[in-house]
Amino acid sequence: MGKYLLILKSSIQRNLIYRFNTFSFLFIQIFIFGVFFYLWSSIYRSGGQIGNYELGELITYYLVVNFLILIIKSDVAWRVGDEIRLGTMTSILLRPISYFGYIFSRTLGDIVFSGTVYSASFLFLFLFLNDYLNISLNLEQIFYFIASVVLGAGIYFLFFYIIGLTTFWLGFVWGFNFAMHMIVSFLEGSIIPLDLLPEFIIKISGFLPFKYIVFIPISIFTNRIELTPNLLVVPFCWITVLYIISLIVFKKGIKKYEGYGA
Amino acid sequence: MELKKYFKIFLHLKKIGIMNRMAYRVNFFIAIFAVGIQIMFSIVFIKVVFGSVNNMAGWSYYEALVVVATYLMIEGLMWSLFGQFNAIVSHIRQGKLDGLIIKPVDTQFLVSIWRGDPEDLTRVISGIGLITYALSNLNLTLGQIALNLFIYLFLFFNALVITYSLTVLVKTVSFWTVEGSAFFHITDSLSRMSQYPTDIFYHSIVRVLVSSIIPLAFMATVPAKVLARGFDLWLILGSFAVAGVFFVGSRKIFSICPKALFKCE
Repeated sequence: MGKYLLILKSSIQRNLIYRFNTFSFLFIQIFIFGVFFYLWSSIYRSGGQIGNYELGELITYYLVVNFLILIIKSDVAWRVGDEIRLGTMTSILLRPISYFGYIFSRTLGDIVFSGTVYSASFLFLFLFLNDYLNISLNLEQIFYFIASVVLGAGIYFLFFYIIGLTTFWLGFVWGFNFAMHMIVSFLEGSIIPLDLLPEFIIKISGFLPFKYIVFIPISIFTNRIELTPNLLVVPFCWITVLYIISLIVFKKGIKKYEGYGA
Repeated sequence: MELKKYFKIFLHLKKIGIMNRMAYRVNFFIAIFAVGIQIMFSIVFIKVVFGSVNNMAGWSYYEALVVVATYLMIEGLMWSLFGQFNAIVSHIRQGKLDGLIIKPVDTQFLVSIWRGDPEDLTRVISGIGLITYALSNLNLTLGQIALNLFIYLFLFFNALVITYSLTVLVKTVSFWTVEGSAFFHITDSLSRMSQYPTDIFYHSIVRVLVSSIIPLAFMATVPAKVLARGFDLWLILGSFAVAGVFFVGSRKIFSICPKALFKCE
C-alpha cells in the first residue's frame, strides 16, 4: 500500500511542478463556460427556450460540466498507450508493483490535485455567478452528488484504461482513443444534456455506462432526478464489470507485449 | 527560386506525414472515423438548439451552419497543413529545436509545416459539403452567391492567417515554460468556440474582446456573415486589419523566441 501512496504523492508533486498547465486548463474551461453562458443567455433573452430547461438550469449544467471535466478527465488511455508503444511499460513490469495499481495511483494523484485546486476556483465561480444559477442543495443530494462523481470518475478511468490497453493489438491507439473520447463526450452529456437528444440516442445511452460520468451527477446536482439507491448501485456494477474486463484484456494483451523501443 | 525551394520542402514534409500515418494504417482510418464523429456532433448540437428555437442571436439555422462549416474548414487546414503548430512544443521539450534553427530555411516556416495530420482533410471536405447544403437553402441568387463567395475566399484566407497567428502566439510561450501540453487545449478550445456566431456576446466589452484581443469573430463569424448576408465594408476592412496585425505580431514574437531558448540552455 505504501508504494502506491508514494506513486500518488509523486503524481501530485509532478502536477505542482507544472503550475502553468494547471492554471491554463482552468482558464480554458472558464473560457468555454463563458461562451456557453453567452450562447444560452442570448437565446433566452430573445424569448427562446431549450427543451424544458430554465436558463439557470442550463448555466448550472454547463458550469458543473466544466468542473467535472477538469477533475475527472485524465489522459490515461494516452499514457498507457504510449507506455506499450514505446516499451517504457517494461520498467514498471519489472518492479514489484501491479501495473493497474501504478496507473490507478498516478491518476488518483492527478484527481486529488485537480479536485483540490479546481474545487476552490469553482466555489468562487459558483458564489460569483449565484444570481444566474439554479442551485438548491440538501445534504442527501450532496452525498449522492459526491458519490456519483466518484463512481463516474471510476467508470471514466477504467474505460479509458481498457482503451489504452488495446495498444497491445493496435500498435498505436491515438485514433481509437480520439474516437472514443468523442463518443463518450457525447453520450456522457458534456456536449449537450442527454434529455435534449432524440429518443433513440437516450435509449442507447441507457444501455451504456457513460451517462453516469457527467449527466447523472449533474442531474442530481440540479435536482432533475429522483434520488434512489439505483443511481449509485448501477454505476458500481459497471465499475465491477469494467474492472473484470480490464483484468482480462491486460492478461491477454501482456502476452503480445514485446517491449520494443525500451 | 526561393518559393520553389519552400514549396518542395512543404511537399516533402507532407509526404513524410502521410508515410508516418500509413505506418499505422488502422489507426489512420479510425482517426478519419473519429473526425467524422466530431463533425457530426457539431452539427447535432446546432440541430438540437434549432429544434427548440428558430434563431440564435439573429442567425437562422442555415446561416449558423455556414459558421460551423467555416470553422470546420479552418480547423481542418490548421491540422492538415500545420498540425496546429504542435511541433514547436515537442521540439522545445525534447531539445530538438536547435537542429531546425541551424537549417538554411525560415525557422517559423519549417516548424509550422513540420507536422500535418492528413486525416483532418475530412473536416475540409465536410465543410465544403455543409456550406453547399446551407447556401442552397439560403434564398440567394446564383449571382449573389458568386459575388459573396468571391469575397468569402479572401476573408477565409484572413481567418486562416488569424487562427494560425493566434496559435503561434500562444504556443511560443512554451519557449519560456518548456512544458506545454496545456497550449494544445488553449488553441484547440479557442478555435472550437469560434463555431458559434459571436453575436451571442451581447455585452459590448466582450464583443470588443472577441473582435480584437481574442479575435474569434474574424475566425468564422465574419466570413460566414459575408457569405450568407452579403457585402459589409467594415467587416472586410476589419478582417484584413486584424489578419495583418496578428500575422506581423506572430512573426515578430517568434523571431525573438529562439533567443529565449538559448538563454535557458
